[in-house]
Amino acid sequence: MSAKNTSVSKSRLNLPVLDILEEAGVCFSIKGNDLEFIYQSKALNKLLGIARLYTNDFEIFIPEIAYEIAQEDSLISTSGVAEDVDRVLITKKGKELIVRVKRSIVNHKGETLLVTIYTDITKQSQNKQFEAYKKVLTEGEVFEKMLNRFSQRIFSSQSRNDVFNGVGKLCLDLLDLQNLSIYIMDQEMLVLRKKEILINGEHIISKEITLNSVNIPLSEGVIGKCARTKTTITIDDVHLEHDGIRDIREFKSELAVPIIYHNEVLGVIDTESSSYARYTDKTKRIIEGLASLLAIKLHEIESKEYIEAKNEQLHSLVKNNPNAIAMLDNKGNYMQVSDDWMRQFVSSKHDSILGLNHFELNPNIPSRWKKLMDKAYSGVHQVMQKEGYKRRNGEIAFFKGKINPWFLKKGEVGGIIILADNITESVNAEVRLLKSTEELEEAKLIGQLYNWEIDIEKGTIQVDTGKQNIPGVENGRQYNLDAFFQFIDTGYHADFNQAIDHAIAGNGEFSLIHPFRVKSRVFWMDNRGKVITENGAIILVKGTAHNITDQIDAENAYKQKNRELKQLNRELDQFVYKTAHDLRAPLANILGLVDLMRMEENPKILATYFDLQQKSVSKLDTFIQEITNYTKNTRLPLKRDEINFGTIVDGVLRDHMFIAGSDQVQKNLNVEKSKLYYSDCERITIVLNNLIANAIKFRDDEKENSFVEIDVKSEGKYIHIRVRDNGIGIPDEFKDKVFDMFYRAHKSAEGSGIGLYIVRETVRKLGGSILLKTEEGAYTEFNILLPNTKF
Amino acid sequence: MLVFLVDDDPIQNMINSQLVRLYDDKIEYMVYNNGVEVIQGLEEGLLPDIILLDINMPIMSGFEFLNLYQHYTNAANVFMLSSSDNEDDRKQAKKYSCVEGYVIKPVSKEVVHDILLSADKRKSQGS
Repeated sequence: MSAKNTSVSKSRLNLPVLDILEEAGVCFSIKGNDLEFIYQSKALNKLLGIARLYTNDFEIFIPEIAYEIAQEDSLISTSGVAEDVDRVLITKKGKELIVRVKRSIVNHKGETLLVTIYTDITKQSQNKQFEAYKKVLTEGEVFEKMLNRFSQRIFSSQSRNDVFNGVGKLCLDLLDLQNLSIYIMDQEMLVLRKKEILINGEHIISKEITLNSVNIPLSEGVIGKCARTKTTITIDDVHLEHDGIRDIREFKSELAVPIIYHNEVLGVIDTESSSYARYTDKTKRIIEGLASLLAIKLHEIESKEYIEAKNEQLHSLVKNNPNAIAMLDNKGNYMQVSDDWMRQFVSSKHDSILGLNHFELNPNIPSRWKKLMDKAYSGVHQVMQKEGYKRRNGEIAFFKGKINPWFLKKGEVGGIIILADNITESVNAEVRLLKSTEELEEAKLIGQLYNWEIDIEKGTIQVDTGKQNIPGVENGRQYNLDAFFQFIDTGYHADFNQAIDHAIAGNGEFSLIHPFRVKSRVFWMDNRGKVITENGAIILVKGTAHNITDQIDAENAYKQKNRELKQLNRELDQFVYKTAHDLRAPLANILGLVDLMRMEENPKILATYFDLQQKSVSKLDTFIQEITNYTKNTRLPLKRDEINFGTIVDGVLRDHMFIAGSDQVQKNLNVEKSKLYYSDCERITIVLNNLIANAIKFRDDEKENSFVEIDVKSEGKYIHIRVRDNGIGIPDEFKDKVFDMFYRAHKSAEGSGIGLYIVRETVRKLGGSILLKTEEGAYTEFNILLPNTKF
Repeated sequence: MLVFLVDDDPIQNMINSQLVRLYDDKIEYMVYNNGVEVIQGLEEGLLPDIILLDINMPIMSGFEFLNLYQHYTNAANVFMLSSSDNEDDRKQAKKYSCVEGYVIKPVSKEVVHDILLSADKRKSQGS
């Protein structure tokens, strides 16, 4: 059967009657076995949402039933008999309509016409598409077609939500259901978690099933029973069913179908209706079919999730393991490594090594390790005992470990897992122990070992100092423990008692390292002892004290030296940097000025440029002087001269005579007479030079009488020098920093910021101290105390 | 065009302002002695096109200033001035996207000319 759209002129067969009646219809002429298109009404175009000519009428129906309609048309055209049927029709916009199809055979001007009229009954239709299918298809065919649509939808879904939304939408289209819920089995909790799909004929947009979803225990209700018994339960009247959960909603019948995959219940599909005995065998069959489709899909999703979770778990297990673990694939590429592995074996320049090759990254792996790995790759577990290796930083580290193969599903080796346990500490401890035993022998020889015993009952201690004398401790005297504690730092008394208690109660061994104080000297003692029993009763703790003071002192001294060196290094770096900068800055100025002068002709401006050049040169000169002073202070040995402060200050003032602003500052020197002062003349000059220069530089021009006072007094064994000015002062926040190297508290660029640093360092070298008192806008006062000794 | 000249050394500032005037004697420029003063200028609403910035300054150094300035929208092109060619300083300067160049003192007429010319070009393209 075919239909041809021949070029029929409308004037030949004018059939306006459909349009006049406002009916949606189409008209074909029957030519033997063929249908020839004649006319299509405007109302049909409107119904379908497009003005398009259809070559045959079944083209507008959903594809599933097109074949049946074609068969039917053929039947009508020959027999002339037609029944009204309801069918699904798809508009151009994709909307599905239910239409009642009336067909009639009409004779018109000698032609036999098939006139089809469509009436939209979507709204009236109660049975929706299911009924529409039912009219033309056998029940089995309907069943098959519906399941086809369900399966297409379900298997194209990616997630559970996708599946549920799809099922909901199709149920709404194809099945006349009021309510539909899917319950998913939680195997751990043995509850069924509810997911509502349809409520009162409305499709619910799915949200994730969460732990907070409505849960039904396996032991309860129709749903629980359905899952337990793994059978479909149809209830025609819930009021007669005592398994039903009595519900305030007015549901009367219920259908529960288990979702079973390989005899395992994954969930339950449940639907309820407000009419009695709503669920026929047909509905049951459809829902059961749907359940088997869901079972396959849900199992697939679950397995996928399971594998992903397992994979994630494995990776996280490796990654977060406190030990060093690396998982390699069969080519030796890292699949996952623990943080500890990264710390221990991987240079910090790598953020991640995943995907890199173990053997390429570590080209120097010893061959015996490679052998072990090869064996592991062949499927045999390997053990590594105490392996030592040199780290990148040169340290020797030790580890023990295991190399295990891991297997793919088929039994092939997928790769290896290396577990390494860092035992460097314990190996080192072993070595130390060995050494200390050797030292013990040595110590005995040089008499640094003292035997002692504590009498538990009497609470006394007796020390055998041997030939070596411990000052203050009498050889062989029985000290009351409390009295003996005078030799031990207060902080260690509790530890000492605890060590005794521990020895008595525990394994019988006494062990304590503590400082031992005799007069002002502190020794460090390493005590080891054992309990001595008599007739089962503990009477003594007997042991030896090992003098480890030298060892500890050496260690501390070494640490201290190291810290000092580091500090010195930092300072040197800064010094070099700053010096380079400050030496070059005035030179750069001079060069810049020379450049400008080349382009300048105005003699007045040229003169200012010369002035500026001179300033730059003086600045450079001053700085070089300062550096010389600094170096002098650090390098030159201390001298002891008799100091004539008058001469020194005169000299300093002479040097400052031509410094800008010098004439505006009154200088006063008061030296306590009839005293002799001894110190290093050159260093005193450096100190005073700097302080006086600062007083001039930071004078306060707003004050009428700027001054700087230098007072020198003798105070006991000290020389007290006070330098006070009424200058601009120093803001509080900079007070702590002004002595730092190159620190400049003031914005003027006059100085390099090294002056006060030199002052402080010089005073330190002289064995004195310096104290700053200042108030912003008021005054600055330096108090210096120097030892006044001839030698 | 507005140029900020930032240096704690008055002689250097004088040299810089002369060099800027040699390029264009009607050019607008501001002189600052340290980072804090520049921030104050910016807070007053001045929008410089170019900043010539010394590194070593008391109160607030060039880098301390940049730490704040890099968060300004419409940050100007900054040229660092230093009397020493220090590798660490260069590296540090590169971290700021607004820093366009690193000039070792003495600053020459040609360098200032190039900096201002390219800024002029940029400005005429932008408007």
